[in-house]
Amino acid sequence: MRKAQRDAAFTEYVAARRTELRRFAFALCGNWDRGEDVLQNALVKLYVAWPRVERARNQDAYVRRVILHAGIDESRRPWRRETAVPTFLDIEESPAPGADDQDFAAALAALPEMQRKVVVLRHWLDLSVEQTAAELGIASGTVKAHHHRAMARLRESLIHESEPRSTP
Amino acid sequence: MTDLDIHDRLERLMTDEPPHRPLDAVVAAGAGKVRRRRLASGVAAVAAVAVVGVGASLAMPGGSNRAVQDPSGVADQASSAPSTAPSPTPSLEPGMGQTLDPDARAGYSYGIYQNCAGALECNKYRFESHAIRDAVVAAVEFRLTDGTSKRVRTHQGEYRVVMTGILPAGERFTQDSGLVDAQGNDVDLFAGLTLFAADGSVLATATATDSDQLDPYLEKCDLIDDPTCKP
Repeated sequence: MRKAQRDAAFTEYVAARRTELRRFAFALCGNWDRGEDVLQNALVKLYVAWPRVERARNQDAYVRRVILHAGIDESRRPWRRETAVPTFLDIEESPAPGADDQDFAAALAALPEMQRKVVVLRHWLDLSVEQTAAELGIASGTVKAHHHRAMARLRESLIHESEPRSTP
Repeated sequence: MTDLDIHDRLERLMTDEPPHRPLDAVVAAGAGKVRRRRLASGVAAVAAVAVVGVGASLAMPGGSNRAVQDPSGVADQASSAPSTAPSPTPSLEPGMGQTLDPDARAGYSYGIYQNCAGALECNKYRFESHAIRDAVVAAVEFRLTDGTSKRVRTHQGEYRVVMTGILPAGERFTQDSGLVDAQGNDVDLFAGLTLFAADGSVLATATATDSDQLDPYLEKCDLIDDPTCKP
């Protein structure tokens, strides 16, 4: 495959899919900048493997797997501090997430990494227990256990958050 | 909390989604990685071609490095200068040495990261290589162009080498081109690699421009983070 062909096919795929893929990364990382870093890292790997992955027509699965195993903390990755990341705090047209949603984001971010991955795969991508197990390379029973604990922690965190704080 | 709750809550968190970053940087980074990978395992493939007599091997004047014309004509990129790393062998000539499948297993792979939190101008590096090779490889030693080296034991062929330091004088990180020298030329920190058996004997040695000996001990996985990638 010539470079021009690879670049064209790769660019077309990424242009069509990167919104969904970045949302997946965001759901895992809880942060747009880190989600973008993780996605970019995954896309570079996809570019390298493109001929094989394109032939197999499993680009989404490949990128998802790289994102899943990239490690949610990307602080050591290169260019993280150099990349000019625009800030969009001044975008006022978009409604800001409500307080409940921010509580939820905090509770999700506080989950152990594997529990968070299970929650995102099960609830954001709507994967079955078996599909989630396959994605993560763990047993179905382990997925269920992670999911059960994650849901319990989320419920508990959100209940605590919604309780009025007592003043000393 | 229902399933729908979580999906909806996640969706609401995405209302402030920023625009995407330009795609050019990803393509450039990917192309650079393909180029380096080809270089890393290129000489080994050239040797195979020479043995079966399909291609024409060509002794490069002034050194022992070898290259071969692409017999298939499917090369998708011109060779680039591999590195300015100190090496007794010259660089591959442009247009030569392109016989490799882009998906070929790597002779070696590594990442070089800027190792400063928050600093835009930073000359500290972090070199990292994580790979799995045949279990006969009991130890691995990496050598860098700044003169440092590090040897680690493998666990059934799997290893992770991390080295940190200061970039050689004049070298710097750039966003678009990665690591460059004072003239802006692409440079590399990697100088060489040696694989050792359990008894301490040398199995294979490679430099930045010659990886012939790594052929029997290539990295096992394209994607080390894949859970199916195991020793």
